[in-house]
Amino acid sequence: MQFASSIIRNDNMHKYILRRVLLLIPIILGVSLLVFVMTDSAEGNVLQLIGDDYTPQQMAELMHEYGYDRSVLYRYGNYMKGLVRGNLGKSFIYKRPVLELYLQRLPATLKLAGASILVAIVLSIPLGIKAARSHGTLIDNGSMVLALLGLSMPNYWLGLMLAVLFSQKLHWFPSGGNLAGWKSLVLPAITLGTGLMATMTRTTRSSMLDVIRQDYLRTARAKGVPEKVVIRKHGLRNALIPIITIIGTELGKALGGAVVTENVFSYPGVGRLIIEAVNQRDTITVTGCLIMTAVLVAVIQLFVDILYAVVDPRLRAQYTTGRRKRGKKQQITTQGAVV
Amino acid sequence: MTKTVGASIDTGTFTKKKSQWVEVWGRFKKNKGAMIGLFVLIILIGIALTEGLWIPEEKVSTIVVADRLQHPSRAHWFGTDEMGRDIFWRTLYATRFSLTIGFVAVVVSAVIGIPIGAVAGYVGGKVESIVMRLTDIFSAIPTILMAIAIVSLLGRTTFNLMLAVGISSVPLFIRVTRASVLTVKNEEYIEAVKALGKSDLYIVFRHVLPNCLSPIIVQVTLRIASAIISSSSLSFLGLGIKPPTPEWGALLTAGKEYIMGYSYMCLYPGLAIMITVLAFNLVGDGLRDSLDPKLKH
Amino acid sequence: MNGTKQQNDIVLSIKDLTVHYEVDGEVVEAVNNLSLDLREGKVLGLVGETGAGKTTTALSILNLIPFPPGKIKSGEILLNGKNILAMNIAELERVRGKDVAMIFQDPMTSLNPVLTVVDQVMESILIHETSSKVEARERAIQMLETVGIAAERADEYPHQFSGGMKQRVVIAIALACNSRLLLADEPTTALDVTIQAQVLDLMLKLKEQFNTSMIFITHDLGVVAQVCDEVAVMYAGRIVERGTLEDVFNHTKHPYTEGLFNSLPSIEDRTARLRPIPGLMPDPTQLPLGCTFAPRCSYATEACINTRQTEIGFSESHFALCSRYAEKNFVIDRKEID
Repeated sequence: MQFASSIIRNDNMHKYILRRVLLLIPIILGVSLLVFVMTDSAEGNVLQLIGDDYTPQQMAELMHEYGYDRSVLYRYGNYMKGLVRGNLGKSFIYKRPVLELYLQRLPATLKLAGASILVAIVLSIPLGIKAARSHGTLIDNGSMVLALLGLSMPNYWLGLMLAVLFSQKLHWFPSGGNLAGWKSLVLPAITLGTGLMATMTRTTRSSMLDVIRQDYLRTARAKGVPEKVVIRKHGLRNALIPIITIIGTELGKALGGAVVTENVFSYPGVGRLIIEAVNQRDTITVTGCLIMTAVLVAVIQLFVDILYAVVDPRLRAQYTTGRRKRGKKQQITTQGAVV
Repeated sequence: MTKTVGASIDTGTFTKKKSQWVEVWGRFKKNKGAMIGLFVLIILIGIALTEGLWIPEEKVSTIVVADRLQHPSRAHWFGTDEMGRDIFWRTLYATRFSLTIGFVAVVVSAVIGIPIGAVAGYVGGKVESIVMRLTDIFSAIPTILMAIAIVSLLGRTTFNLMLAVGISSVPLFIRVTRASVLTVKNEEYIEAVKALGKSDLYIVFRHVLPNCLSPIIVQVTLRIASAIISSSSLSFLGLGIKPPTPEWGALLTAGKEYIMGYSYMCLYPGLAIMITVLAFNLVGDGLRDSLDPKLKH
Repeated sequence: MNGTKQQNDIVLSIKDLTVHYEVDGEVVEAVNNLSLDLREGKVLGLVGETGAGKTTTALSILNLIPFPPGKIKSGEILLNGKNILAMNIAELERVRGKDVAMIFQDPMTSLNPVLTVVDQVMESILIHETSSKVEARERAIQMLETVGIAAERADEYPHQFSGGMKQRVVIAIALACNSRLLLADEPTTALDVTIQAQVLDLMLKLKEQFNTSMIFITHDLGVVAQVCDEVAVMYAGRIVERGTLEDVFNHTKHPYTEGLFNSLPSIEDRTARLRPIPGLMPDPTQLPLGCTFAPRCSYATEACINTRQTEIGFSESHFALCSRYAEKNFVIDRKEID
């Protein structure tokens, strides 16, 4: 960690991070426009559905209030004015601000996605390394078959089967809700984590296989570096680069996959909220949740890119324009880098 | 080893196309997993193409109240559903529907994504950066959420489901095609065609794309697998195909209601999805290794 | 072979080394019954075409043959009297980088891209000589300066260096612990000619300074003449001729060595045509029983192909693996130079 902070302290790195944060703005604008236009023109919004309960005049007033007598862009402008102030509108169904609904459900989803990605990292990276190092053996082939199976399972099906086995038959864990503390997180996390684990094991293995053949590992061994250190310090650091990318994209996938998993286990997260809202044509809630999820994914991607630059000096050089300053200050920062 | 390499170099320049595919097949054949996958796929496609000929209609859709919710037995291998329909026959019959959805979805994403990616990669400059920024925006939304948004936008029909699943993986095809075009476009033979004064469009579709096929083929195979999973997930969420349509996702959705006590209703359609997806993944992995032996591990 | 008086200054002694690679059920005989000795402070040139087994020999000395597919089948490698091939992994790790170090062939791939160059140089110092990071770093920077890299650049990463500078880093890594034996695997092949000369000079200077023995692997006879005291010529996994620089260059015995000289352009006679050796090296999975060079040799007889070759001595230091010398009057075309 000392290492990471010393690199981020570097002036150019500051600039790079700032640039990347600023780049979030057009992405957020683009995503919100895309989502807004899509959901806005969805067939039958809630106003038309509940139309029967209102007189034509009341209906017209409502239409006016929500801007439905103007163009999409007008409504988008209004929406964005709100968004900047942290106002994502008010749900038609729940009669509560969308942001409040979203934030209320977010912790559960983050817990679920976090738990599953954590389980996936802890299990898949050692497994992938082990598979690569015992390339061609039973361990390697076995773990690759398992990973492929994990990749080929629809995760809602896996969830149902886990619920039948561990909840209904064995009574180990609850099959729904989140009232039983960490126990209610176990089955959803395994369900969501299986696919992530499969991808990450495969990536770790192939990345490690690439690295294992590199000449610089031989250089390290020729120096008398113990084998464990060769793999950890010289191998893994290099193999990490593609693994980090995959963790980033998998986190994004986990946030998407959570929609399905949450619905299997009636787990009260953002995913369940989105599906409830879609089923009730609660357009404004859907819009808000989609935009917030996209922003979350973009922020994760930002972290991944920065982490990238920490691990790989070549990328760091590419990002931070110009040659790094040499001299005293540099010396100090990299002394800290000798972990 | 050295001998075969030498031979391929000698003949390679003259009959590249033919010998290349022969070699790919030669490598593919050696991959046990890929061959198993291919075998399963051929059987599945065989079932899908011919099922109308030999699966009796009444087995699939006739409601027999007396037979409802029967556990698997000699008479009903996979048991029966809440309407007394035989799950074995329904699962088998759903092959066509489910495979079609996967194929069509991928055709949609390929037809949209490949030309865009090819043009972006070939033209470069502003066009490329605009396309790639838009792709970034598009892929900031997780695929499944994108598909949900599109289905709710277009309405919940089978065709829209395929469209939604297809459109949501367009960014992937754009990326893969662009990356591959970038590596090809600076090759000398492309320079040579340019020197002949051919139009850019002609060059892209006649010379650049055919040389980028390997990664695209692999991507298509793997995407069919994930399209089958995504579309059945949407069905499961109530946004795709509804029961009692014989489609694996819909069969599962119907079974979900009876999961307590009748879990077999979900087990078999799910297994069918898994086997199919596994077969596509095996073939996709095998293709990748045999198309680009340098990457093989 | 070697008089008792020289016995204790022998740094490295390889006896009957055989290394095989087993790929897809086929056996590649990379090194066959190879024996050689190296005395303190001497430079032995290991010469031969690509694929002759030079790098494999060097890696065997570190016991770093990649397994699978490689395997040391038999032999003994005595480093300062201790058999490397009989050591356990902990003993090996103590020897590697300390008693024997290696300069690798390709500077582009031999350096770890995510570590600074000083980190990579100080690593072996930290393992073998001191536990103080500050001291190790100081010494590493000194070593970098010795090979001509300014101290300010110590904290840069390999991608910030040119090919020649990277090679210097690779050399600095190998020299970090002043090993008694240095294995240099084509250390200049990847470099431009001008930089080549600089790096060679540098290595020779360092050799003098630390009294290192060196095995210098190359296919460049010009470099051999410049650097080496002794020469061993390898062909298809065997040493076909060995002796002092003088022996091999001026009193060439083996037809293959002659062929190597013939395929060099001559400065004296610019109009002379090059005479490359006809044919290719034999398939290493199917080496003939007799002389491996016989199929390409203009002097070969039926007997050469079918009978096992034995080393023939011409002087106390000069040997060749060619059974035709059993005939009294056999000579090759290349003139002896006195």
